[in-house]
Amino acid sequence: MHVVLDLQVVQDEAVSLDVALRALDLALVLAEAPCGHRVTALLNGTRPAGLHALQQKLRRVLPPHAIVLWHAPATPAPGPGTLAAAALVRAAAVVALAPDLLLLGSADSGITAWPTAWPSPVTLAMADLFEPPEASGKAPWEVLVGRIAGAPARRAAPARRLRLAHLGPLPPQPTGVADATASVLPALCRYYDITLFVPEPDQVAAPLRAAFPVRPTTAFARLASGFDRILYQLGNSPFHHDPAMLLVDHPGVVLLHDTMLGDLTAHLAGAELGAALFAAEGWPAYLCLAEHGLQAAIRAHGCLAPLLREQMGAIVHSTFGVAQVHAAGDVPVWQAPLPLLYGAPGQPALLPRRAARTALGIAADEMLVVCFGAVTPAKCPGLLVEGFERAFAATGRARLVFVGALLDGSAPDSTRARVGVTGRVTPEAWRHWLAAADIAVQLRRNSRGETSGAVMDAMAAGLPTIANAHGAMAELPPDAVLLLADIPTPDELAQALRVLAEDAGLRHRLGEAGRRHVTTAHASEAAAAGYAAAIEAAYALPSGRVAADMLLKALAPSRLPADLLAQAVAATMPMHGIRRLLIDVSIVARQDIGTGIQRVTREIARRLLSGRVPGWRVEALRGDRRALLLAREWVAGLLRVPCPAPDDLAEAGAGDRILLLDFPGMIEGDDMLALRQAQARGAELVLVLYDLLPILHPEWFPPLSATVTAAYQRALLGCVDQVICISRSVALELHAALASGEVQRARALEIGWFHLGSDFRSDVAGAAPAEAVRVALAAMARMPSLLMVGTVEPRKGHAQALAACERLWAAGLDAALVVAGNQGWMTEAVCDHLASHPEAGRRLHWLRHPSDSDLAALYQASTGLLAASLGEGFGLPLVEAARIGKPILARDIPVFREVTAGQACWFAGEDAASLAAAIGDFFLAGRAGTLPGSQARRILNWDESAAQLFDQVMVAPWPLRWAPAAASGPPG
Amino acid sequence: MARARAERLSYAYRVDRLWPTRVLRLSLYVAIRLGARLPVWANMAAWNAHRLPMLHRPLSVAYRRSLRPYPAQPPQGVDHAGPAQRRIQRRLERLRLTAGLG
Repeated sequence: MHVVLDLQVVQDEAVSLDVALRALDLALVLAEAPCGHRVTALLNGTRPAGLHALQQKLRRVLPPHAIVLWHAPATPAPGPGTLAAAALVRAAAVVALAPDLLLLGSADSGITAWPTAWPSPVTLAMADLFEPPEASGKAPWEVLVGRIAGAPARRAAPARRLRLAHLGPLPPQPTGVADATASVLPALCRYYDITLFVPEPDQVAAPLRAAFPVRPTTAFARLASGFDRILYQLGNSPFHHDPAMLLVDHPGVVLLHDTMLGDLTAHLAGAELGAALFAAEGWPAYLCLAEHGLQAAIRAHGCLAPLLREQMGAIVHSTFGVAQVHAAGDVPVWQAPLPLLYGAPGQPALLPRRAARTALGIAADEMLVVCFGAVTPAKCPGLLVEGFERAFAATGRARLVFVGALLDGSAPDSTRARVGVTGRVTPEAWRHWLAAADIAVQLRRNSRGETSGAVMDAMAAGLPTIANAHGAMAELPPDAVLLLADIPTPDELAQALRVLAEDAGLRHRLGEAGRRHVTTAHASEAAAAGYAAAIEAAYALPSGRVAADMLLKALAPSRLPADLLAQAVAATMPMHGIRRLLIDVSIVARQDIGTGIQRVTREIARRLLSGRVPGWRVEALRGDRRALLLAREWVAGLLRVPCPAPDDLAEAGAGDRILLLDFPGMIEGDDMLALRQAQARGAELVLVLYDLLPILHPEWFPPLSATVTAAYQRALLGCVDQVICISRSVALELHAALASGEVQRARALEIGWFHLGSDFRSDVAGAAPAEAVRVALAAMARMPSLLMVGTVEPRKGHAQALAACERLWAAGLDAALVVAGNQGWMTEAVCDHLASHPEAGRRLHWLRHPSDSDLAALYQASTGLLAASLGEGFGLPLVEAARIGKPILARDIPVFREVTAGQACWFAGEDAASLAAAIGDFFLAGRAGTLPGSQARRILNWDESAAQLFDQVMVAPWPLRWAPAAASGPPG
Repeated sequence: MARARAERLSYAYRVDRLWPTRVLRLSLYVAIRLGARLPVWANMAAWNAHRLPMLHRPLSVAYRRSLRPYPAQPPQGVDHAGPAQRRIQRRLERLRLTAGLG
C-alpha cells in the first residue's frame, strides 16, 4: 500500500499546537516502521517556517525521494483565485504520486478543489487515528489498514468509449509508417473512437477516409482537449514534421518507428541545428557536431529527449528500441509488435510462384535471391553482392535483385550481369517479387532503432530469410530466420546462401516457420492490442507527466498570470526529461586564478561534460545572485567551442544530482541557500571533499579564513547527501570527525573516495628557464638535492626542513634544498629566512613561480622529493615524483602512505634533528641504490581519475557509511 | 560585510541545530523528574520537542528569514524563468488561447 502523508497541517501556523504535534508524531511513527508499506510525505514548499527543519526530521526516517514538495503560485496578495489554483496544484501533486491512501493532517485541511474527473484516492484524517494506542490496543498501521477496508472504493473509470486523436503519415504517403498505420487502424478501432489528423485530408486513401473522420492538422490545437488519448507516430523522416511540432504543446503517447531521430531534428531545426542538437543531446553531441560535422553528429545521437520530454509514454517495436529510449531519458516506454503489411488478412493474396515469375520475366529454374526495401548503405549492398557472387560463382542460374528505391548513391555494382535494382515498385510488383523469390536476404548496419517491415513481408510470404543479428533483427526467433552474426563476412553470407540454395526442404521449413511467426506475433490484432495496452498504461501511470497535463487543463481558466502558474507547476513537477548531473563550477567560472582545486575542477569537468552517459545529461552549474545557473558560456570556453545557448536557470530539483566539485569554502551565502532550496526540491548534493584541515587544524590557517571555511565545510557536511573524498585517508578522517562529534550531522552519510589524476609530463617543452631556475639546476647537477613543491604554508614543514638542512650543512654535508612554491600565509618569518639565508643561491634555492616546464626539469634534476607536510588531502607532488621514478622522503602520515602505495622513505618527528638524520640516511641509501620507489610507476591520468569519480558518484556502492547513534528512549 | 554575512550564517546554523528546543526539552524533562504533573501534551512535547519545528519559531526569526522563499534573481541577460517553466507557460498560454481565454 502506498500512503501519502500530507503534512500541511504541521506547517500551518493557524493549526493548534496539539493537533500539529500529534500529526507530526504519527507521521514519524508511520514512516519509521512502514511495515512493508510505502510512505511518501507531501510538504508545502511555499511555507517557509520550519520547512528545512521538518525536512531534516523526515529525512531521518524517509529517503529523500519520498519527501515531495508542492508549490503554490507566489502571488503578492493571495486571493480566492490563488487558493483555488494552489489547491489544484496540491491535488495534482497527490495524483502524480498515485497513492492508495491519502492521510491528511486533519479533517479540515482537506484539498478543497478536487476536479471530479481526476482519480481520487481513499482519504483519511490523521486526527481520526489519534486514539492512544493503549486504548485501542492496536498499532497505527493496524488501525490504518482497518479503516481503509471500510473506506469507499476508488472512482471507476468512465464507461464511454475513449476518443483517440491519431497524428502520423497515412497512405498514399510513400513511407512504410503510413502502410503500417493503415494495416493496424482497423484493429485499433476496437479500443477507441479514432480521428485522423493529416496535413491534407483530401489526399488520404479513400478506404481510410470512408472509415474514419479525417481532419487537418491545423485544426488539431483547437480540438486537442476534446480527446482522451493522443497517439503520435514518429520516424526519422520529414513525413513526421507535423506530429513533431504538435506533440510539444499537446503531450500524448509517441509510437517510435526509429529511435534515432537526428534527420528529423535537423529538418525541424533548419539553420539552428547547433542549438537544437545541444538542446537535444547536450555537450557531447555539440562537440561531435563541431569536430566531425552534421552527418556524424546525427548518426551518433538519437535526439529523442526534447521530443519525448513531456510525453505520457513511448511505444517501440523491439527490446533494442526500449534500451535506446531508456538511454535517452526517463520517459516510460512499452514494446508492442510491428503490424504486418502485406501478409495481413484482407490484403490481396500473392500470385503462384510460376505466374509471378512469368509476370517478371524470370525463368522458372533460376535461383532468385532478393533484398527487399530501399537500397541504402545501411542495407550492406556491397556485402550482399560479394556474398552472392561467392555463393553462386559455379552456377550461372542465379540472380540477385534489390527490390526498392535506390538512395544515397549506394548503387550495387551494376557491371555484374546477375545483379539488378528495380527502383521503387508498386505494391502489386512488390507482391510479385515476394511470390517469385527463392531466398530473401535482409542485412542491416548502423541501426536507428527501426524494425524492418521488409523482413516481416518476406517472412509473411513464406520466404526463407537470411538476416544479421543487428539492432532489432537480433530479436528474431532463430528458428524462423537464418540469423548471421552482427557483422557477417562475405564468406559467411555465401555459405548461408549455398546451404539454402542446395536444400529445398530447408528453404520450405524455414519459410513456413517464418510465416507462422509473423502471422501470429505480428498480426494487426496483436499489434493493436499491444498499442492499446501501452497507451492505457501510459495514461494510468502515476507520473508528473499525466498529472501536469491534467493540472494545466484545470488551471487554464484561472485568472492568475500564466508565469506565476507556470512557476508553481514547474517547481512542483519539474520535467527535464532526463536525470542531470550538475557540476558546480561557481568559483572557477567567476574567477580562475589557477589554484590546484580549480585545476582539478577544470580537468574533471572537461571530461565529464564531453563524455556520453546513457540516461543522464551532464551540465556545469554556477551560483549567481541566489540563482543556480547552467554555466554554458564557461563550458564553451573550457571546451573551446562557440557557446550553443546562453546561461539559463538550472531549476534543479528531483532527479538531479549536484556535484560540488569546486572549492565550496568560498560559496556565497546566497548560493548556499539556493543549493539548499534545490535540495529541498529533491536534488541530491554530492560534495567533493579535498581535506578537513580547516576543521581539524585551524591553527594552520589565518583565523578569519579558518573560521569561515570551517563553518562552510561544517554546514555542507551537515546537509549534503553523499561525500566523495580525494583520498581514503580524508574519508577516514571525515568518518572519525563525524563519530567524535567534531562535525555534526543529524542523519546518515555515505562516504567514498577517488584519486586525483596527474598529467604532469616530464618531457614538457616550454620556454627557457628563468635565471634562478638555471642556477638551481646547476647546483642540483653538482650535489645531491631535495626538492620541496608547494606553497609555503605553516603546515608544509619548510621551517623544519630548513633547520634540518642547516644542521647538515654545518656538519659538512654538501647538499641542496630547492623550494618551489610561492609565499602563502602566516609564514613571514620562514619566507624572510629563506630569502635572506646565507646559503641562498648556493645550496638553498627558493623559486616562487616555477612554470610547468621548470617543475619538470627540477623533478628530473633532483635526487628526490621531500614531502614534509603535516597534513594533506592528497599530495600531488608525490604522485608527480613517482611518475618519473624519483625517490621520496615523506613524513609518515596516512595520506602519503596511501598515494605512494608505501614506496617512499619515511620520517616522523617534528624537530630538525630527526629530519636531518632522515635526510642523511636518504642520501646514503640513494648512493647505495637502495631507495624504494626509484622505478617510474603508472599514475592515474585525468581520464581515469574522472572515470573513478564518475563510477563512485553514479554506479558503485559507497564504501563507507556513517550513521548517528540510535536515539535514547523517552524519559520516564 | 563578509564578517556580518558569516555571523548571520553561523547564527542560522546554530539555530538549525535546534538549541532552543533542547533547552525547552531539558527544562520539561527536569520538571517531570522533579515530580511536576504536566498535561499529556506537555509530556509528549518534552520528548518530541526536537521533532517540532514550531516550538522554536519565536526564537528563530533570523533563521526563518534566511529561508524565506524568494524568486531566483538571475543576473542581467539571463531569463527569469527557467526552461521547464518557459515550456509550461507556453503550454498554458496555448491552452488558454485555444479555449478562447487568452
